[in-house]
Amino acid sequence: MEIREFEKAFRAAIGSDPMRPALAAPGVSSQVDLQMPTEFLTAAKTLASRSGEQPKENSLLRAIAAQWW
Amino acid sequence: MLEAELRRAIDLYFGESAFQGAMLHALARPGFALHSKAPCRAGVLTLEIYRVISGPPSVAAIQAAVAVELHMQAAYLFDNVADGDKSPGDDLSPAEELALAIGLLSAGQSAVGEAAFMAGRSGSGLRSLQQWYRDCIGSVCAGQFLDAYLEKRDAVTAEEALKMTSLKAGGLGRLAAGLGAGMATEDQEIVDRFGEFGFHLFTYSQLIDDLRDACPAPDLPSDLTQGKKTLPVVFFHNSLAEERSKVTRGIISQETQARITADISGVFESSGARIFGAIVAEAFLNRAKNNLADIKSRLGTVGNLENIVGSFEISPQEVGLAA
Repeated sequence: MEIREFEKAFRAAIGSDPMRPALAAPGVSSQVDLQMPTEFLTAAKTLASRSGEQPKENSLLRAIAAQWW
Repeated sequence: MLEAELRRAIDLYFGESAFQGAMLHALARPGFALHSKAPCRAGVLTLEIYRVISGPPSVAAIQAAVAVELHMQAAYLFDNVADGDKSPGDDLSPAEELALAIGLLSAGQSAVGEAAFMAGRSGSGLRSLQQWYRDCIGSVCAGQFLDAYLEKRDAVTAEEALKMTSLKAGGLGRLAAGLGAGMATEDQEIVDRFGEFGFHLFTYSQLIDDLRDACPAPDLPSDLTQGKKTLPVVFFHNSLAEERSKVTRGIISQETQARITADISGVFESSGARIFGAIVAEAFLNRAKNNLADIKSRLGTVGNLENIVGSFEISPQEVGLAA
């Protein structure tokens, strides 16, 4: 995946409002091969929580990460 | 060992006393190779890769490591000029720094030639090494130029920012790793594989530095406030541009603008720019690890290289990615 495609997918994953990233995408399969370190996903959740969101699932982010790799 | 060799090279290449004095002074500053805390990681990588392929470093390998460090220092000096960085009590003008950088780059090129001669390269082996080196240095110089060129532009894409980073930092990594291999073997495939490993490792390292420098603390100078075109900063600015495009006539709401002005670091953190930068950085680290695993399967060992990769790795906390 090229960086521009990744950026597009990432922006879609964090939500349409860049000021309030959701980092959550209910309904997206979480059955992807996760190569992103767990600690970074945890950090992503922490950051999302700090911005006022309550992320339920990072599956789309995981899917993006898997595609990127 | 590398510091002593570098001093010897400076003595050899820079005979004029004022030039040599300025060079020694410049390279003794924090962040440069002759500073007491300098790790000289690029030169160490060159030596370790030679060791993995061929055993204890030869004079050619040591000369190659010196050449790599000369190139690294030239790049750092150029960065100082490009970024307008000045240490307290530093009396070197930008023109002087640039003259020193040109001197280092020229010395680095001479040192590569001497290393190839010491390694007994001739004929097609020498030609392959020269072509490979030409491509490496072309990449590094193009990255340096792109860095300066993008600074002038308002709108920069993430693709352009990553290209600049990988040309510049990745090119230096390719040089450091590939030259170590090139001193040990004439097998161009092995040289290329180590080159790829260095490219990915140094690009990762630069992306991590960019995350650290993006927005370190409200009272510290940051890439964000200085408008540098690093990947996380570009992502952030493009987020703001996206926000502006959604409202009438491209004017951001007063409320949002006030929030940005009052709390730019908070807006940066909530933009996702840091996570975006971390994921891209992780991708490069994983690629470097994959390169190393591939090399291990071919050579049977990678010596201390896994530990060296480990020394480059950082935790999420170190780049502000955890509470």
